[in-house]
Order: sequence, then structure tokens, then C-alpha cells
Amino acid sequence: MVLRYTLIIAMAYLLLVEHGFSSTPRVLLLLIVAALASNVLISRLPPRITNSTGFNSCIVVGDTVWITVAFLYSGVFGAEFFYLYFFVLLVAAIGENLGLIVVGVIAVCIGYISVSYATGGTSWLWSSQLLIRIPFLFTAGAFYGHLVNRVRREQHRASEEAQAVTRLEKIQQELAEYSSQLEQVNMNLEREIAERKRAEAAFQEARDQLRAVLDAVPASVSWISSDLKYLGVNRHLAALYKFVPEAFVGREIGFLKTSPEFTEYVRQFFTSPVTEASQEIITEIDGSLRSFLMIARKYSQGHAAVFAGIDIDERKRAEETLRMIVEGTSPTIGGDFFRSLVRHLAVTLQIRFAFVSELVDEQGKRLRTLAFWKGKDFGENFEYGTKGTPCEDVIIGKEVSYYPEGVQKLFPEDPWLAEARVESYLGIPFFSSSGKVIGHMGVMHDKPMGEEHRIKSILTIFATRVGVELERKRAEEELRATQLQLMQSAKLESVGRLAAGVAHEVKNPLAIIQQGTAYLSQASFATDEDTVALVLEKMENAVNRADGVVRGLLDFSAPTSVEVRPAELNAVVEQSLLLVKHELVKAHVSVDKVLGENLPLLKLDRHKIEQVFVNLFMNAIQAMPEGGMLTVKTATKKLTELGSDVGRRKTDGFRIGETLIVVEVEDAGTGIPDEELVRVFDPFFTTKRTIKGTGLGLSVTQKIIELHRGMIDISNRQEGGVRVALMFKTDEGHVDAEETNPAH
Amino acid sequence: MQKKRILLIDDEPDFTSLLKLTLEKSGAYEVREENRAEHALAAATAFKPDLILLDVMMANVQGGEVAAQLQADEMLKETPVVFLTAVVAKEEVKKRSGMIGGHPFIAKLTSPEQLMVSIEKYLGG
Repeated sequence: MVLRYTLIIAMAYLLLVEHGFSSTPRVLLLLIVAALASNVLISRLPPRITNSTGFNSCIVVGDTVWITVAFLYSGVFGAEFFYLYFFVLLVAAIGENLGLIVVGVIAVCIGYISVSYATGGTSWLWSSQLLIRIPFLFTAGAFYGHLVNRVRREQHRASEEAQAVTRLEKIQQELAEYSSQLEQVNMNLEREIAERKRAEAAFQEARDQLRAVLDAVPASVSWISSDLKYLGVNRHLAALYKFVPEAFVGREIGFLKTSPEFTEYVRQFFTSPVTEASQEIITEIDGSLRSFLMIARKYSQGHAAVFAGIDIDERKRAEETLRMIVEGTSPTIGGDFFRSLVRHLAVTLQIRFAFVSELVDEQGKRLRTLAFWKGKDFGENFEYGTKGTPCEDVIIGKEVSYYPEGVQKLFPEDPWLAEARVESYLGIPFFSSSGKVIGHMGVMHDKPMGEEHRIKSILTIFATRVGVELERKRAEEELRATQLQLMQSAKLESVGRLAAGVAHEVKNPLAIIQQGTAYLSQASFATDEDTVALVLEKMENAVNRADGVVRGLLDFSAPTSVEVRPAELNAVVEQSLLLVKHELVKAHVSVDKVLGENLPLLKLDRHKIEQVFVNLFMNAIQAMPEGGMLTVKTATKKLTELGSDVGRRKTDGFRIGETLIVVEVEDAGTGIPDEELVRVFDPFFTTKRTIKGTGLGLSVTQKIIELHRGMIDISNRQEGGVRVALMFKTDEGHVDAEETNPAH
Repeated sequence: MQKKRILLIDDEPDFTSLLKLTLEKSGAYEVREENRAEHALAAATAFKPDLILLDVMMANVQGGEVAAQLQADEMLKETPVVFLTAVVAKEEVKKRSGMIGGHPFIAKLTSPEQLMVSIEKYLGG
């Protein structure tokens, strides 16, 4: 309110000046003093009142009143001064700010001055009236302007304050709301946290469990993200590669460089759409290759997968070994089986020695090897005593004996072990079907032997088969012995018959010779010369016949083997026909040749087969003493049905489906009576009573044909005469039962 | 002296002709030879021999059968039959006291003198 003082002073000065200091009416002076006093009072009032709009309005109104009253009372001022005064008040009232108000007031003053000057009211600018009024106006304007301003400001502030208060209240309200919301949220959060803690605990437990399981599983487990980085591995896998599991996390697969197959497999698995797969792969561990069965499974929507690898190396190797051995031994039987077996065992197990042996005596004191492989080839089979050898344990103890090393020291009495420098031994017995030990098989090495389990398993598997095989072999041997005996007795019988036949065939000529010589010794000159000549001729014939019989006999006994070479059958036929050409002509026998074309070469003993053909041709010629037709046919023929010699099994003479070469020799004679047909191959059976009829021809022929593994058949033709059919095999299907090819 | 009639049944023509020569040279015998065993019966019936010499081992018909045929014949069953066999040796004849199936037998490989002795023996009545 300092400015009010200024106004009051300005007012006072104005009044005083106007009236002159001495003649100012007392009322006016009173008013001025009152105004001053009021200002003093006002200054004592608390700001709260002085700042209020009401108070300020009172001031303005009050001031306006006493000032107007003062002016009116003074009566000095003209109307225009009042107008000015009110105008200034107006300017002050409406002025936006003090600056503008001041400017407005100045403008008014300048206006007043100019108007005054213009109207000629004063001639002197610096007249005292003006000098006093203008400051007053100015001050009034300024004061009221200031007041108004202040009021306005107050109002503004008050409203702002009110606004602020409401805003504050609103904020407080909102705050309260938020507060309660927050509390709510807080509660929820706490609940959630508690739950989460629970869940985490459970999760951790599960994880621990999983970890425990993973680490316990005897498989190499790894889990890998789709960007081909390890998320983790189990302890087993880590240990395999001699790392800790943590060393794998985050690394890219293949960083160990031990298994490109695995890396490739993982890559493929992730790019393929399948979620599960398995495959065998090979990986390098500790410098050696091992086979694993990999099982893969995606999870987490295909972003990761777990790979479990199971070491199947041992099993695979055992499988491989077994397969090789089985392959190598399955087609063989008998002695070949044992040889094949020991060889394959040694080779596949990579052990130097392998053997199979059988008991010689019941007590098991002596053994004889059936097959013995000594590293690069077979050794000679030998017999030995079991005492003091590792074999003794196997036989007597009836169970596996395993000496991984130092076997010589354990059996110092066995000279063979030392000689062969055997270091390790594994033997296993095998049994007959009645449960008796009949032999044993085993492997020995010149170095210490590991892999006991594997070797034992493999040997055990074969022990059964070997036992069976050995029994079979023995049964077969017994059978053969019995057969041999039977054959012997049969042979003896036939030999007996043969002897009888020979005796007869030789004795008849001898009897003739005897009679002849007896006659001639008693002959005298009186004896008829012709008779003597006749007797001599008969004797000569007899001698020849006897000779023939003996020769035939030699031929009969001689062919125990044939020397075969590939030959053209038709050529042999032709040659044989040439040999009997003279006889053919003499007997007026014509020949019809029907020789097949493109016959395969046959392995024949040419000379003997010629003999056969000659025999057959001669028989045919002799069957047709009046002449006739001799037919010779050669052809190939496929066997389509069973016959007496034709069977289905490999061991039969001929089998169905087999292709043969057939030779047929036919004559147009009288044929052979049925009861004699069966005896036709008997030695010395003959229907001929001439020199040529030794009766040995067909039996020798049959023998020769049999030696060629062929067959001869004699039958009567429907049109009369005899048909002799010879059948030869075309292929030499016999496989040599030797060691199988190692390159196989 | 009346010649005794001998029927020779044997399938060896050279043998029978020589034996006939020898036997007839002695003058004591009249010999007929028959080389075909199937004609033996007919020949015997026709010739009415005093003795039949019969070969045991012949091609088509065995001596034994012929003997049976002869035995079956009314007229011939009394006629002595002697087997001639190339199979059996002289020694064996002695051992077997010279009998086969009721008939005596002689080995073929015998000297003619020996043969004639045997013939005489068996001619009997």
C-alpha cells in the first residue's frame, strides 16, 4: 500500500496546490488525513484481508468516492478533469498489466495536454495546473492500475489456488485409489511369489531327478538346440570324452571332431519334419571307432532335441563275428565243417590257434583233433594225452577253462604249449545228446587273451552244433561201416558167383583141351587126318576162349577208375562204328545214325567208352544174325519225372530238372526174354555160345558207365529187338569240399 | 558086345564132339550128343540111352531141371543120369561122395579113361 500513499500525497498536493496551501478547506484536509490514516490502518491489516478481492474493491470504491467527493467539494475542477479521472480509472481497470496501464495513462495525459493546448486553455505547457494534475492522474492511474492488477493477480492466484486445491484433492483421491489398488496388487503379487516359489521348488526337484536319471542312464545323452549348439549333456557322455558336462553347454556340435556322422545326423534331423528317429552311427572314442545306436526326439516345438546314444559296439562286433562264422560254416558238413569252423573262429576272433577235438576213449584220457588251425593254415590232426594239459580240465571238469595268460606256467607238463609258445587258452567241452562229453573245442593265442565273455559266448553257440555234428559224423561212420560189411558180404556173394562163372567158363575150354589131348595122344597114324585137324581146331578155339575169359576177367577187375577228358560223344560213336565196320558188313547190318547236334562236351575215358560202344554194337550185330538195322541215337534230355535212379535229393544219382546226354543203341533182333532182362548185367551171363560171347561184356560195360557216373538201361523195344540206353550227366556239379576262399 | 548108348547133354559143342570121338574110339559106346537142353527129353526118348551124361550149368536150362524132366518121364526115370560139372573139382567129387540131388556127378576136367571108369560104374544095370 505504499503506492496508495503516493496517490494520497498526489491527491493532497493537487488539492493543496489548487487551493493554495493556506486556503485549503478543512474538510479536504480532513479527508486527506483520514485517507492517510486509513492507509496506516490498512498497512496493519493482515495480508489475507488486504489481498482479498473484496477488500481491494472496497479500496477502489472508497478511494473513488472520497476523491470524487473531494474534487466535487473543491469545486475547482472542471468536468473534464472528472472525465479524465474516470477515464484513467477505466484504463486502469481494463488494463491487462501495469505496463499497458502506464502507457494508457501516459497516452491520456498527452491527450489532455494536447487538447488543453489546442483549446487554448493554457498557453504555457508548464503551467502549474497541468504540472500538478498530470502527476496525479498518472499516479491514480498507476495506483489503481496496480491495484486492479493486484486484485486480478489475487483472483488469478485464488482461482489457481482453488484449482490447485481441487487438483490436489483429486490427486489425493486418485492416490488413495492407487494406494488401495497397489495394496491389492501387492497381495496378489505376494501370493504369486509364494506360488512361484513352490513351483520353483518342485521344478528344481524335478530337475534334480531328471539330472540324476540322465546321469545314471548308461547311454550318452545330449540335448541340442535347433541352431546346433549343445544345451547340455549327461555325465556319461562327458566322461566318455573326458570333459565335464558344463564344458559342452553352448558349444557348437562337432567341436570335438570325433564323429562327423553324429554332426551330420543332428543337422539332418533338425531339417527333417520328423519328431522321432533312430540310426546307427560310428564315432571315435579314445582313438578307436565304436558303433552307437542314436535315438533322437524333438521337443519344445522342434526348437530342441534330445539325442541318446547307446553303445552297441560290443553287440555289433559279436553279431559280426557270429555272422561271419555262420556264413563260413553253414554250407559245410562233416570234416569240412570242423575245418571251416576253426578257421573262421581264429580269423574272426583274431586269435592264432583254434581247434576241435574228439575223445578217443570213454575215460577222456586221449583226444584226437578233428581240425586244427595254427594261424595261417591247418595243422595235421594228431592224437594226444589229456593229462597235464589245459584240455584235461575241460574234459574232466565238463566246463569252460579260461587262462588269459601264462598258461604254460600253469601246465608245465604240456610240451606242446611251450613249443607253440601259447600264452592264453579258452576251451569249452561239447556233449552228445545223452549228455556225455565227447570232445572239446577252443582257441589259443600266443599273446594274452581278453574279451573272455565274447569268445566264450561265441564258442558256446558253436559247441552245440559241433556236438551235434560230431554225433552225426560218428553215426555216419558206423553206418558206413555197417554198409561196408553188407557190401562185403554182397561182394563175397558176387565174387563167389563170379568165381563159379569163371571156373565154368575156363573149365569148359580146359575140358575140351583135355579131351583133345587125350584123343590125340592115343591117335595113331591110322587116325583120320581130318579128324585130327578138327580136334586140333577145337582145341585151339578152346584155348582162345579160355584166354578171352581171362582177359575179360582182367578187364572186369581192371576198371576201378577212368581217366576222363572232355570229348565229343558223337566222335566217339563214329569211331566205335568204324571199329566194328567189318562185322557190320559181314552180318549185313545197316546203321541208322541219329546224332544230336551241339551236344555239350562230356568228360569221357575215350578208350573205355569205345569199348562200351563196341560191346553194344557187337551185341546188336549178334542179335541179328540174318542182318537188320542197327540204330544209334545221341541227344540231350531233361529229366522231368522220378525214376528208379532219378530222385529229388542232391545225393540221388540223377535229379529232376537235370539235363542228361542219352545214347541209344537199338537192334531189330528178337529181344531178350523178360526173365533174363534182370540178369543181363550179371557177370558171365550170356546168350551167346561163341568165342565172342564171354558173357563179360555187359557187366564190364556197366562198370565203365558207372565209373563215368552215368547209367545204363536195357529194355525191349515195342517193335521188337533191344534198346540199350546210356545216360551221362552234363555238368560236373560236385563242389570240392576244401577250405573256403579266404577272400570271400 | 553090344555098345552101350550114352546120351551127352551139354551146351558145349566142341566138348561133346570131342568126348563122343574119344568114347566111340574105345568101341564100347555109341554116343549121341545133344547141345540144346530143351531138346534133351526128346533126344532121350528117341535114343533110349543106357546112361545120360548131363551138364549142370547150361545157358538156358539148368541141368537140374533136365534131370527133373527125365525123372518125370515114365520110360526114362530108370535111366541113370550122371551130372557133368565144370564147377566142381575131382577132389570135391570124392568129398561129396559123388552125389548131387540124388544123382551122381563127375567133374568135367577128367581124363577120358577116368570118365569111362565112372561111366562103367554108373551104367550098372
